[in-house]
Amino acid sequence: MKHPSVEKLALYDGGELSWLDHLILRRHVTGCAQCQAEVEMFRGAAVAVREETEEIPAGVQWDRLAAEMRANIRVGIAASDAISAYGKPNDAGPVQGMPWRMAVLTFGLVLMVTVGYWLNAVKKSEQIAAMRPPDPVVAEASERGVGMSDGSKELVLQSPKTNVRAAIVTVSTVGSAGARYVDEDTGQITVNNVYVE
Amino acid sequence: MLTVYMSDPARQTAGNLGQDTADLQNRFIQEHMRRVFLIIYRIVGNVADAQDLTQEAFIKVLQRSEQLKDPEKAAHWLSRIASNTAIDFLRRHGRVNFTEIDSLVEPLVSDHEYNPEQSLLRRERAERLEDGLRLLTVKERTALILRDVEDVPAEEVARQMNCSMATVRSHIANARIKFRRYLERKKA
Repeated sequence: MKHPSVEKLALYDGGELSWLDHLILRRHVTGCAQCQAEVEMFRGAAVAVREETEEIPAGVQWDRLAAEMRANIRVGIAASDAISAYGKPNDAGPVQGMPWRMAVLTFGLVLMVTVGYWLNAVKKSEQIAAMRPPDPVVAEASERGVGMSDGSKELVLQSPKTNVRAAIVTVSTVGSAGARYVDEDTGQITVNNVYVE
Repeated sequence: MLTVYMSDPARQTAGNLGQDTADLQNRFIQEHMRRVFLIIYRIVGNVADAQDLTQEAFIKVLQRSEQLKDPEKAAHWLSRIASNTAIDFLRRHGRVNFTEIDSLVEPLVSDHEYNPEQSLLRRERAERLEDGLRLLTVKERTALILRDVEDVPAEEVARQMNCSMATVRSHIANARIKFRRYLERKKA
């Protein structure tokens, strides 16, 4: 009896053969104990590869490695955000051809909204000041630096250079503030984050 | 200056707008990091390079955070990016470097993390796999990992490895034959 090649037997169980080859091989393998054993051994080897590749390499402290990678990924994403935000135009183009009536109307509306907002804000800030507990811990961020203070003590991380302004400034209610800087001369990216605990 | 008062966490600021995306990114990293690291590690063969490439793959994917809206698609895309990053790395360097973990500058090893029996068993299994994979060429190993471990269809493996279906079939067959013979020798 002529047996199929070992290459074909290796591909038989994985389904990589053409349907015709597969059909021919199936007919042979069903009636041939020797080839059936071969196929069975390939099946066992595939299971071993699958099982053993799920193992973390021997000696690697996964938790520590994963924490390090997570931190590096976050810094990488922060740097990438800073680069894409850097040089993005902040202002929309000039408005052209606005009729004077529309301009007056817009100005009036803006004035009314601003005054209303300001009056409301003053009232709210008075209410908040009355409700605010003494000396809360605050996280602060501006284009010049990030920091935190509790009324008596203050920690501030300033911009790496006096002429460098932050490309991105973030503050979160879970107690963190961050600023990312791009040095125009060197292209160096600085990511400053503070966390309140 | 933006300010958040910690005594009132309900207050929102403009700085919070990216919080959801950050949470989504963290979950995504948490869910897939082990799998991605292992794919890359099995292809490049050493921990230090696998660490760098895993980070690179995640950063590539997370730079386009709109992809995370469909987690299944994002996971599939991440797998592709991971294997492509590893293959590109090997192509660029034209080498396979199986650095022993003990010889890393700062080994990420913990001697006391596992009990000795479990640790020995894990080490034996990992070493057996690594020795077996070491017998394969880079292409055979990549094809085997993608096809038999990651269950990537052969056509997709061919696309990722930038070669024909016939070539991929040959890589897969050779890899399976070599690995099977290696296991048989080990048993004997």
